Amino acid sequence: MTLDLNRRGWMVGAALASGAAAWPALAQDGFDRPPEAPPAPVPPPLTIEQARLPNGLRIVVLPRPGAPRTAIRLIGEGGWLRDPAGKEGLAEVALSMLAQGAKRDGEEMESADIAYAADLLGLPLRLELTPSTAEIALEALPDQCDDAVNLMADLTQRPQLAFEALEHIRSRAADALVLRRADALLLAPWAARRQFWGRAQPVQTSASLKRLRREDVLAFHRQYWRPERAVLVFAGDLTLQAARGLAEDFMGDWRVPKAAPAGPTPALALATATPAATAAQFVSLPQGQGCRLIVQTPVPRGTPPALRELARTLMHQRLAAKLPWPWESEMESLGGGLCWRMSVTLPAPAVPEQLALLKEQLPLLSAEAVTPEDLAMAQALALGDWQAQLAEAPDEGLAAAIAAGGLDDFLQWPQRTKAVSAPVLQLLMSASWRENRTHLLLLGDAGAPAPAQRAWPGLTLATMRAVIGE
Amino acid sequence: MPVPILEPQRLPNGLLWLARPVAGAQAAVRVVYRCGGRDDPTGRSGLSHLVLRLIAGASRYLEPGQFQRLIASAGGRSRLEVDEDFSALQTVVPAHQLERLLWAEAERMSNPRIDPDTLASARLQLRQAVQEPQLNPYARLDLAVQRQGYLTHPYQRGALGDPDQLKEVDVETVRAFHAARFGCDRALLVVTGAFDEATLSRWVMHYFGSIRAPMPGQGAASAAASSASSPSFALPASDAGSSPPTPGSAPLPAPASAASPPRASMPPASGADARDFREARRPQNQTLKLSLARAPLPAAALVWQMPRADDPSTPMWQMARALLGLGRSGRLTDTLVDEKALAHQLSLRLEQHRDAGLMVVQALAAHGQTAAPLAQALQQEVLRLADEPVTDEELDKAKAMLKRETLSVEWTADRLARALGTAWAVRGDAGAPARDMAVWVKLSGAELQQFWRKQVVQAPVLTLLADIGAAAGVAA
Repeated sequence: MTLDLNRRGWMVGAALASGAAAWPALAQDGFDRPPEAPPAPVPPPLTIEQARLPNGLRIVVLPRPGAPRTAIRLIGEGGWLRDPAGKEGLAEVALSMLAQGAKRDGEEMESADIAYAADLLGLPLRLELTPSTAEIALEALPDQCDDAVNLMADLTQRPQLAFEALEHIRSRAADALVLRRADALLLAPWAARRQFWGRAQPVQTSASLKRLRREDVLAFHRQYWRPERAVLVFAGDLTLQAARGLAEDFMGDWRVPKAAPAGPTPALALATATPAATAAQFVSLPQGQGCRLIVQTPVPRGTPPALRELARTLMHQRLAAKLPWPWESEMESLGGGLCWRMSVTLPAPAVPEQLALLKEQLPLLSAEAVTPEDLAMAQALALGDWQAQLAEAPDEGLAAAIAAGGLDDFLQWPQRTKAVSAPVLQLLMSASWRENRTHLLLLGDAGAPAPAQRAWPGLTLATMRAVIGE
Repeated sequence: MPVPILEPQRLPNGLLWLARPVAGAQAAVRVVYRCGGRDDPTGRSGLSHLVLRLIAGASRYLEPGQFQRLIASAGGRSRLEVDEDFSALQTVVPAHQLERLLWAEAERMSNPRIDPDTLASARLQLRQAVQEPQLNPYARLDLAVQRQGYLTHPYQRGALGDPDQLKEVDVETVRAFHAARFGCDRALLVVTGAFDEATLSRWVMHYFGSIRAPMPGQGAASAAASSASSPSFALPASDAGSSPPTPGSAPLPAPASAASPPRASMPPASGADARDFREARRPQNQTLKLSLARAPLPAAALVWQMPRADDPSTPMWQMARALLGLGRSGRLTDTLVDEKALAHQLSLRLEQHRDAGLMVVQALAAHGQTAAPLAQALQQEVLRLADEPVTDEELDKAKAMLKRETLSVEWTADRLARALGTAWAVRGDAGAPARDMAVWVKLSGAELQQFWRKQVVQAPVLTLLADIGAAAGVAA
């Protein structure tokens, strides 16, 4: 290959020497366009192995040969959508209390013992709450997986759930709540969900936290941590046989209640909820020096995950090209209902102009024809993100798929995204982001309201109480 | 424990490059310029950030937005990073797209488009990036840690910069700064992931080897020209982008005084700068109070000075951090969050930079607590490390967490590229984390306590008390 060591030298030096602002038109054969990429290799099939213990506990193994550590995750059903009416926050408190005390071989383990046992594995215990699941995650070296599974068994089968722990966790949850209210970034997803789903969306308040009793926690735990409804996930260098052996050793005697325990009833199943009437609201947080802008639109129930992801990706690209800010976007599934959300932080002076542009562009961008290049780009991005997640945190992707009931979609992601056609994608996109289906929420400091209201007619000032109920 | 040798190779034009394979389907490319917030001229805080956004924005053969489309079409993701010590562009793509990415990165490195339109766009992006963190109600406390934690060093300004100082900056000034500070001989290219080594070498030579080295004196001449046209423009010195300092090998100049900000100094023709900044020692304990009007809970921060990142004591600091601040069983969390319920959340971070560093212990008070007792309890717990014996079990746990943290960067192309590039830019040694590990695995509790008595117990500390509501005392 011939090397042209001087091919780019004209740039800064020449421009400066000549004082020219224009670009010198020098031919640079071979460097003016990117080389062709070879055809994309077909991703190797992603396979999982599964088994069930006699007590119903499901075991899922994602083999990662050569992985130095194994990610382990126990998934239960007590997500925050299960919060009973008036006791919002119960799912979070019940999950946090698991790490506050448990028993092993009849001996008490205090919170410090639990924390130490997990940290000794190399990574702290993580307690993660999603809309539909409560999860305990650990990571261990191959010869420490028994310690990790043993600890998970202690926490879920023999938790103390003591009154003192409830008070400690309640106090921490209350502090977290006041922090969330003061920070537009933390507040945004909750306020946006409440705006979109209305009162169907459980949002914890200081009053709902105060109402929690130890009996509520015990009942919630009994109702949702049950072996026949739990999933134990492994991602690492181990076989199904080894994983099953660990589960049998430590969770084999996890008993199934003979009758389904009576527990608190969730406030509302979002499976039957419909989005609230569209609204455009501005909640002022003083001295914010910036503003969180969120737009949301409904997506038809039952839209396949691959199609959703391609639509989200393509719209994100189009929006970022037209309004070049660091947008974030997601499609959130809450109990089957689907919300497509895009958000960004803007400096206050930029809000009116960007709002006007957004109002004009959203319907145009979503109605734009989906070209073969658009489709290929969205498919490539969806595949690349999937590969990145498999490399970075395979257990998280697997857990999210299990929680959403979309394990097959996750495993066959390359094929599912390839199967989406441009007309179908076009149909979904053009049905979204219409003016009468778009919600707007501004949180923070957007300057005087009048310019923003001119840019987005119908924008009303709202209080925190009106949006999140307290 | 064997420590891998990670010596970058040098192309004829001065560009350093380093490649490490990582199993998987992806490849990452990181381009690191050894120019960050510390190198911003006086009165032009954020100029490095601005230039990085211009490099990322458009070039001769890449229209605005075209790089992003190219990477998106490849199924990749791209980001930029601004630091006090460096500026970096990092992109991850499916491995079969690596050659296209190398072409694009070489194009961005050699032909960035710096004109009034791209400058206006970059200014706007910079303002947004600066304002986003200010949504956090504790942003002022973070700012105070930076501004008050350093006494004289330009690290006081942070990395993102001040948009108001860049409002009037013109294209020529930006071009001059780019020519002086962002030449290929001041950069490191890191490639990680799945690739064939011989093919990669050929690509690097083809796409990056063809970039012309900066003309001798170009940077200095350009900067001088800009300086003449703009009296406030002054380039602070920094060391060589392509010749990282060897720990302890270079005599350091006298510390800059707080009253006289860093003086202008042109980089020598070779690109090797003459001097480093040196941070003054904090003479005594100091307490500052600030008011956080929007914050719902009081907060406190304690700040100790640390040596520069390439100091041999770095592994000791890392081990102390692991004992005090890592995990749910770290001493700070165990005592102040779980046992005494004084803090809602807390953190201990080591902000290590090329010239100086800070150890910052920061906490939000639990409901009903105030900042002063919280700060007192934090300090007691930090100092207790010198007195209360570190058991073998506690030490083993801390080592397990540090080891996991250190080794996990090798699991993905993305993480490894970032770690190698950052270690090179900040510590002058891409293999520094592995060398640290070789030290702390042998460390005993007694050695650590002896170190702590000397370096922390006897050292002055800055205490920042942030109560909510009305202001009390000095506003930082």
